[in-house]
Amino acid sequence: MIRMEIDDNQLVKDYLNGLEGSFEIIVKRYTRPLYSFVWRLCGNKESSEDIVQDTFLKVWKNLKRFDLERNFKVWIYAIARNSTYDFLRKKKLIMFSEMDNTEDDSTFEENIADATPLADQLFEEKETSKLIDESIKNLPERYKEVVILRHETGMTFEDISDTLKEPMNTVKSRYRRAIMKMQESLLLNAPKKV
Amino acid sequence: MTITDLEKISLKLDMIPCEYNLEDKIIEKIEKAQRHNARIKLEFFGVSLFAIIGIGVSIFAKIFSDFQNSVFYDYASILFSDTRFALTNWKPTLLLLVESAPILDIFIIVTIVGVVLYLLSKTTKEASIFLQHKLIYK
Repeated sequence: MIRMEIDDNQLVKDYLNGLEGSFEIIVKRYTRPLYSFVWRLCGNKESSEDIVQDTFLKVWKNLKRFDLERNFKVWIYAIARNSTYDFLRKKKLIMFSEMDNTEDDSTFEENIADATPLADQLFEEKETSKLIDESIKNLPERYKEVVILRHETGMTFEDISDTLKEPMNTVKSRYRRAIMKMQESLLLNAPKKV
Repeated sequence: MTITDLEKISLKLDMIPCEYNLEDKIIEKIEKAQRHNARIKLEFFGVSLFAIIGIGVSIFAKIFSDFQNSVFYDYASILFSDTRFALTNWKPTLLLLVESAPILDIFIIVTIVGVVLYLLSKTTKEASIFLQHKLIYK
């Protein structure tokens, strides 16, 4: 059980030094988070399982090439993301145009002129998480992945930028737009109080 | 209102649960890949080992036959047949032995033995990975 608290990069080092059980700990640590991340991107249980298995296989095959100075979490999520998009492309579930970067690099801090009341009371409702999930599901892929990485894995914008291989301003811009779209969706779909 | 206000709403995403045995499936898949890789390497090193041994045996036979007819063999025989003479005249005997030594043949023998030992160690390693059912890095 003590080994479960060991840092990812140390586990990789241990595995490469022949210490048994180290890679299994990495699998146990990341299976559920990766599955959740992949599921939110592709929306299918069986496909998500296949993609996660494929991700770990790629991780295992390339472990000796992993730079121990890098953040392992960023690396494994990047592989999971690429595997998911490869799968979606094969299934032709996303158009190539969605992969184009159309956002500008505008600054992150921006006042939004919005007359509607802040929807924080919506988040108090029982159905909140379902609404949030629904609003995330309807986001374009590029926005979806930023929100999931930010709020499910707890990654910083810097880590997200490394994972997605995008400039940080682009990541923040997408995040901002994603939150705006989610807010619109939540306000539209929230149950009306009588 | 800024984005930071929206973030303060504590947007929290619950992790989607997966199949309870997904971890086991993953490890099983990787172990299978590991055994598959080990099997391919085992076949390669195993076949190479047998091939080198086969070639080595015929080369050794040729070298041994040439050795028996060589000048070095004649001088070496003196060492064993007339040891006293060899020891009394050790300098010229040694010089003759060194001059007539079959350097190339010795080099070939050492190389073949080295390659056989290397292939044997690789074959053993891959065989142990193939036969084990756990994730190991060697």
